[in-house]
Amino acid sequence: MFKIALFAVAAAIAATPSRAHACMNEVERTHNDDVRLVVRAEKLLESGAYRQAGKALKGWRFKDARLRERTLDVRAVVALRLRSSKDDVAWVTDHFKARTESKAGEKDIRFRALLAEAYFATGKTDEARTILADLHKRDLMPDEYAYVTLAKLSSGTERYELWKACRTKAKNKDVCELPADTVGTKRAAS
Amino acid sequence: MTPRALAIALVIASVCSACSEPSASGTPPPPPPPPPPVARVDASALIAKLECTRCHEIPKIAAAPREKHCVRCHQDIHAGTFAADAPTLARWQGRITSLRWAPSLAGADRLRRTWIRDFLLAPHDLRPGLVAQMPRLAITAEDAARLAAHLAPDVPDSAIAIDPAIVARGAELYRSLACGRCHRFTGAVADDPVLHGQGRDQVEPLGGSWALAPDLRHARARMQTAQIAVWIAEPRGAMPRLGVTVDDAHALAAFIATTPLAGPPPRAPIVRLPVLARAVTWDEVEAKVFRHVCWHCHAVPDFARGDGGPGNSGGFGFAPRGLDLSSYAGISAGSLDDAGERRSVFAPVDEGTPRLVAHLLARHAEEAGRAVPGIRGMPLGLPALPLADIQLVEAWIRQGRPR
Repeated sequence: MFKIALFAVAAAIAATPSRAHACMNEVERTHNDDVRLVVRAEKLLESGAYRQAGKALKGWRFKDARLRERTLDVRAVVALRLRSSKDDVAWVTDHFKARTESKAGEKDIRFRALLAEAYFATGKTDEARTILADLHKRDLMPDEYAYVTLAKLSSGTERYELWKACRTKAKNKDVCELPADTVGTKRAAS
Repeated sequence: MTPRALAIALVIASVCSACSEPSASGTPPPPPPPPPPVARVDASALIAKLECTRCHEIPKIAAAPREKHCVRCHQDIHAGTFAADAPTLARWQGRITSLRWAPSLAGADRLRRTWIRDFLLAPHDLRPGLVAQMPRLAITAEDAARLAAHLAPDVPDSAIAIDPAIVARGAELYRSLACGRCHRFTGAVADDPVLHGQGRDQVEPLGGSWALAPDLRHARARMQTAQIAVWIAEPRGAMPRLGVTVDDAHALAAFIATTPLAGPPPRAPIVRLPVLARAVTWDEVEAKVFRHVCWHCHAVPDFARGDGGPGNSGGFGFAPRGLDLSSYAGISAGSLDDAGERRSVFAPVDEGTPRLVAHLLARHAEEAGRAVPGIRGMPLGLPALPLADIQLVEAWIRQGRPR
């Protein structure tokens, strides 16, 4: 009987939807230290401070599954952008592939762009081009990294236009650096 | 309707018929028919879908949970009872002006069903003291009629002829009771914006009575004259008791329902400002517009444990749009269309206007009573952004969305 009651309680807890905090982002940020920590790391990531972003979350393992996922996202981007080892890029590709296939992530363009970036880093250029060309066609390129990656996979005027778009959208213009042949294209195009 | 209110209604109906003007043929018009039996429709499921209880109190329907209750949350913040440290509360108190009050729908049973239905389909600014107004919901005409039938009984309209002397008495009462301290009465000679402005400070401690007071211009469309009189004699919700007699309530109702109204003031045409020549960056447009206004409802779902607000995860009957306006990458990643596919919020929708700008301009059109089909005005149910802010957003988009 006790086991049945225990099971019923456990089932009720499992069936209870997570607390919805619509319009409460600011509240969460103020109240929840874990959220605050992850947000800080994400902001560092956005500003290009990859090492600090990685450090900010080093050793942390959160109870909340969503925060754990976000932490993994941060670590994956850090590994992708710093590329300290080939192993890093391999797990990053798997991570973002899983994210794009998950129910929560399948509609998130950002994961697709990151997967394309990871594909490019591992030499899977056709896969990278397919994803990014689709995003570009639909005007859904999320950031400068998507532009510069597609620029590297393009040529001629298209390459120049993508490089230009990257420069416009980048906080750090160095991100948009391309091999020297771009200069010639730029002159031809202008 | 309470038994006492019903009794007042019958008395008022008899007073009305007794004081009716003779008709052209010289015979007095027949007294209005008694109200038919109340016939309501249960639209609880629809109310749950539209999440009406996040703002409104509705009889026999449980209030929204605390963390989803917009008005209660804002009230707690202003009362200082919200669990946050003092500096944070002070910061929020300085910012939060909207959704501090919302009308209880307990009093909606006095309204005409047809008016409720039409208002749901084309909401307009009804209460000048409130910052927010009823949002333009994703609701069909059929559902709007169903919701109206849940809230109000089906009472056929009955025209009542009214003695001008009673109307004059009502006008006198309107002034002596200083109704204009809470109510605007736009278009009527009795409207007094100065008195109304003074009323804000005087009546505020009554808990939002001033803020919730409707513009009486709409009263005759919302209610039958007898219902206005009943409401004045037996108010509920935020309307204070005036202690008037049934005769006085009738006179006031007669005045409110019949005093001549000038047409609505002409609205200046919406003149889109030219695209700025100076450079506009993400930081500027984020601080002035996206972070300032949009982020509240269009945020990252994971940020608040799975709910990115009604404009991202869905809510108020809206399907999830997946739109995140809290970061550069978020806005660049677009929103979900009706088929659930991602689309750019910068793509042109009408004569080259980017979708995002079209939604912001549509709010101006809604305020002018010209809702744009297929484009919901944003911010939803809040005042339109200043045209200079829209100009900033458009300039940023036209300049290639620079960081």
